[in-house]
Amino acid sequence: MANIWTIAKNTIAQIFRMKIALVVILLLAVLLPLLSVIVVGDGTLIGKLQTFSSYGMSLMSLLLCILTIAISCYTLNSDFQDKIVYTVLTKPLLRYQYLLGKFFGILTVNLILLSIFSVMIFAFTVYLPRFTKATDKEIQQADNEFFTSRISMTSHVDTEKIKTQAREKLQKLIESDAPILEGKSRSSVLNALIGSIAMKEKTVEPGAVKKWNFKNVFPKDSSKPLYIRFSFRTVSDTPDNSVYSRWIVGDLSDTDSGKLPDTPIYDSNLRKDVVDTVREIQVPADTIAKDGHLDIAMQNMYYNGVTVIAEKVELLYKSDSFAVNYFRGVALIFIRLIFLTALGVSLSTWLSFPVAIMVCLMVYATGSINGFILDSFSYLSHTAAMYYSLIVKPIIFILPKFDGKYNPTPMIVDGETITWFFLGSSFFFTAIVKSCLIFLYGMFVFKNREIAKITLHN
Amino acid sequence: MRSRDIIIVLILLMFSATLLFTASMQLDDINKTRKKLRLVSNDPLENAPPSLAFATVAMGAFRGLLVDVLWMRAENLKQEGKFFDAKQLADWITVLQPRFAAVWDFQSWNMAYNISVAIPASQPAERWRWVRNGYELLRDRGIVENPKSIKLYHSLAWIFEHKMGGVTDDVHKYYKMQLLMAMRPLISPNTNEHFDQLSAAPKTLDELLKDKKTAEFYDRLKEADPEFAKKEDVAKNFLHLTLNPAAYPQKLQDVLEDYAYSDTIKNFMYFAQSYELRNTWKLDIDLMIWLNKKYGPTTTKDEKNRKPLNWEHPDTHAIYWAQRGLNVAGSKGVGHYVDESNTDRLIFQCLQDLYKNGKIIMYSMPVLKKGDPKLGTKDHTVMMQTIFLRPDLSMFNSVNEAWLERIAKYSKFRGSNVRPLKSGHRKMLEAATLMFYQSGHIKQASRVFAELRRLYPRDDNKMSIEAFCKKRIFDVPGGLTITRVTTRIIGVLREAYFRFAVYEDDEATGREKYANVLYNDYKAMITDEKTDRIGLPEFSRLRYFALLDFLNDPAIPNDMKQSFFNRIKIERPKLYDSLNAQREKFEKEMKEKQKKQDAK
Repeated sequence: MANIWTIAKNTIAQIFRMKIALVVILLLAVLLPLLSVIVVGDGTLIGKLQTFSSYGMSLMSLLLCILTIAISCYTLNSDFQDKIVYTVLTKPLLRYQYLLGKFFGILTVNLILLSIFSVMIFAFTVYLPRFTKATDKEIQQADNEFFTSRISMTSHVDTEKIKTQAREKLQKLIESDAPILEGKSRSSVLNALIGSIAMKEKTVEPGAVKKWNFKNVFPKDSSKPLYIRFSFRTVSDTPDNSVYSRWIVGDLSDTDSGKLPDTPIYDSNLRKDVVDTVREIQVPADTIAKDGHLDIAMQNMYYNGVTVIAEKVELLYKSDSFAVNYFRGVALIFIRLIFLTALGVSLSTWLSFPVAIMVCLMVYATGSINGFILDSFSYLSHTAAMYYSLIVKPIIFILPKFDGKYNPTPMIVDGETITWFFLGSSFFFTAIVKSCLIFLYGMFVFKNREIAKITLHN
Repeated sequence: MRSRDIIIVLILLMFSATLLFTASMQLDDINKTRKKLRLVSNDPLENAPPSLAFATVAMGAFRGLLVDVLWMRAENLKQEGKFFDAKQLADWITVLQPRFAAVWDFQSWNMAYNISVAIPASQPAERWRWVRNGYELLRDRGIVENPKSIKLYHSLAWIFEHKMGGVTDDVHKYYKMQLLMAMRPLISPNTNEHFDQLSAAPKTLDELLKDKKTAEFYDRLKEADPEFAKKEDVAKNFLHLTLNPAAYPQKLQDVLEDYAYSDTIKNFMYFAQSYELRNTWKLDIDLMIWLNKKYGPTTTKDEKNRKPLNWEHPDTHAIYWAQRGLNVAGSKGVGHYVDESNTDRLIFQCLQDLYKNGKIIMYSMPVLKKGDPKLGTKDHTVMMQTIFLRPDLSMFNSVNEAWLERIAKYSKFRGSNVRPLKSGHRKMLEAATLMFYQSGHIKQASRVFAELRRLYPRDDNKMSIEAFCKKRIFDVPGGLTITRVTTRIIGVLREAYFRFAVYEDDEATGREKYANVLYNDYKAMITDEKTDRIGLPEFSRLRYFALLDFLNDPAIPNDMKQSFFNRIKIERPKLYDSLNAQREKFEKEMKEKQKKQDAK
C-alpha cells in the first residue's frame, strides 16, 4: 500500500506541474464566477439559477473529463519517454502497484478539483438569489422548483398491450392485401403501427378527458405539495399558441359510479397553457389515497377546437434536499472521471500518447451521445439495422453512458432526484465492472510488457 | 538555442509579418471586388461592437463549430419545452453569427411569442417586456446587421401587426396601450404640418444649437438641472419635462415658463420629438410622411386631403416596417418571391385591420390602490387607463384604394387567380355600406353602395340603399324572429350609449337614429294585421333594456357608466327622464306580475 501511495504522491506532484492542469484550474476559477455574473437566463430568478447551474456543471464536467483524459494518457507515456520508468521499476515495486499508484494519483487530483469546483458552483447557486432583485414570489418558485429534490413518476404505459394491438392490426392488413405494405418490410410497418397507437394513447380530442394513474405515491413529507409537470402539443395551430384545460387530481377510481373518495379532490379550474412549453401545477399532497394511489384527469376544453397531445405527464414530489441531490449529481460526474482515468491509464500501457488520447476522446464523445446513437439504429433499414444491432450495438452498449439520465446536469436544473439506487448501480457498472475490466487488461499488458532489453557486454 | 536558430526564427517572423501586412492591404480591394461581383448580400463588417468584432475575427473557423453547438442546445431545449436559456443563447448566437438573418428572426420570434406567453396574463408588464425584447432585437440589431434581408422587415412588421395589433394575446390591450403612451408625446398634435416640421428638424443637438437663442435656452436648462448636460439624453429628458414639469425642480419650471409659446421652445420640441422618432424608434420621418400621404385617413367632408395615419396603432408601425423592407430590400417588381409578396400583403392586411379596429378609444379612470405597510405607503388613488377598439371609417378610402391596386396588380401576373381578392373586396364594400349607413353617414354610404353596384352588379344589390341595408339586417339565416330583431336593436343602442360615454356624439346620434329606423321598419313588417300579435315592445322599453345591457357589461368601467349617467342627466334630460320613466314602469309591471303569480 505504501508503494502505491508513494507513486500516487509523485503522480499528483507531476500533474500539478503540468500546464494543462493549470490551464483547466485557471479556466474554471475564472469562468465559474464570471458565469454567475453574466448569465441572465429568461430574466427570472429560476431561469438564472437554471442557466448558471446548467452551464457551470457542464463546464466543470467537460474540463475535468478532458483534463483526466490528457493526464491519464500522458503520465505513463512521459515516464517511458523520460526513462523514469526504468529506474522506478528497478525498485522493490510490483508493476501493478506502479499502475495503481498512477490510477489513484490521478483520481485524488480529480477528487480535489471536483470538490473545490463543485463547492464553488454550489455556493454561487445558493447565494445567487441574495444578489438579485428577486420578488418573494420568484424566491418561492425557486425554492419549490429548483432548490429541491423531487422524485419524478410517469404513468405506466402498457407497451405489451400496444404491441399486441399493433400486431393484430398488421395481421389484418396482411390478410386484406393492403397497398400500404408494398415495398416495406414487415418490421418497419409494425414499428409505424406501434408508433401510431402509442401516439393515439397520448391524444385528447376537444371536449374529451384523459386519465393517468399513479401507484405507490408515498411522499416523505405530506405537508409539501405535489407537482404535475406536463407539456402540450396540438395537431394544428391555435390562435394564441395556447390551450385551455381543466385538471382534476385525486382518487378518482370510483367517481364514475358517483362515489366520492375519502380524500380531497383538487380542481385546477379553467387554465390556459402555452403549447410546447413545460408547465407545472401545484397540488396538495392530501389528494393521494391511503394506498398510495393517485389519478390525474385532464379535460381538453371543447372550445379549443383542436386535438391535444399531452406529452410526458409527470408527477413530482419532494424526496430530499437540494444539497444531497447536488452531492449525488457530483458523484455521478466522479464516476465518469473514474472510468476515464482507468481507460487512459490502461490504454497508455500499450499505446503511444497521441493514439491513446484519440481513443479516449472517441470513447468520451461516444459516451456523451450514447443514447442518440442507439436510438438512431431504429431509423435504419431492416438489413442495416440487423448489422448494427449485432455488431455495433454491443460495442456501444459496453461503452459507458454519459448522456440521458447519466448526465446529472438536467436533473439538477429541473430539481429532479438522482436516487441512491441509481447512483449505486451506476457506480457498480461503470466504476467497478467496466473500469476494473479495462484496468485489469491494462495491468495484464503492463505486467507482460518488455520494458527494457537486457544487453550483456563482455 | 543557437544563434543560427534565433536568426532563422527572426527572419521567419519578419517574413510572416510582411505577408500579414501585405494581405491586410489587399482586404479593401477584395471587399470592393466582392461587392462588385455581388458575392455578398451585405456590406463588410464595419464599426462593429467589440464583442462582435472579437467573435468574428478572433475565433476564426471555430466560430462555426461553437455556433453549431449553441444552435443544437437551443433547438434541444425548445423541443423539451424549456426556455430558461433562450435569451442567453440568442445573445451568443447572434454575436457569433450576426449575418445570418434567420438567427435574428428565430430569436426574436422566440422572445415575442414563446417566452412572452409562458408568463401568466396576470403579469402584463412582464409579458410586454418580452414582446418588446423581441421587436427591439430585430429593429435595433438584426436589421442593422442585415439591412438587405426582407424577411427581417416582414417579421418585425408581423410582431406589430399580429402580436400587438391582433386580439389573440390575452393582454393585447396592454401592448396597444404601451405603444400608444410611448408614441403620443412624439407625434402630438399629429397633423401633416407637424410631420413636415419634424422632418425639417435638426438631426443632432449640435445642429440645433447653432441657433443662438436655442443655445442660450439649452444653457439655462443645463444650469437648472445638470442631467441636461448628457447630450444623448437631452431629447428624452426634455419630453419628460414638458409632459410632467411638476416632477422637476422649480428652476427648470421657471426656464420653461420664461420661454413659454416662444419659437425656441417649439423648435426644441420638434427636435426632441424627431430625435426620439429617429433614434429610439428608428423611424425615417420622410417615409412616415410618404405613408401618411399614400394611406392616411380621409374625412367624409374632405376626401382628397389625407390626414396622418394613426401612429399610436401597432398596425401603422407594421405598415412602416413592411414598406421600408420593400424599399430597402425588395426587388423592383413586387411579388417576385415569397417573402416579398408576403411583406406586400402584410401592408394590405394592416390597412384592413386599421379600418376594422383602428380606432383606439382610451379611457382613464381613478382606481383606489391599497397601501403597503411594509413600504410605508397609504391607500391612494391612481389613474388607470383602459382601451376600446372600434372601426375607423376614415380609413375606408385607403383600404378601398389599396384593394383596387392589388386587384389590378395581381391580375397582371400570369396564372394568378384574383377571384378571392374580388370577392373579398365586394364583401368589404357591402359591409362598409351598412357600417356608414348605421353610423348616420348616409352620403358616404350611398357613394360606397354606388361603387359596389358599379363594380359588382348583382341581383342582390339592384335596389335602393335603404332596401339593401334593411335586407342585410333582416335577411338572417334561420329567419327573422322578434328575439333576433330586438337583440340587434338593443345592440345598436348599447353601442350608441358607449359612443356617447366616450364623447363621440355624432356616432352616438347616428346609431340611435338607425335603431329607430330598424324598429319602425320591423314594426311595419309585422303589423299588417290590426293587432300586434307578437307583442313587439315599445322603442322606449328597448332603450331601457339597452341601458341595462350597457350598465351590466363588466368590460365597461364603472367610472365610465357613472359619467355617462351624469352626462345624460345634464345634456339630454329628455332621454334621462324617458329612461327613468321606463324604469319605474318596468318595476311596477314586475311587481304586478309577481302579485298575480303569488295569488295563483
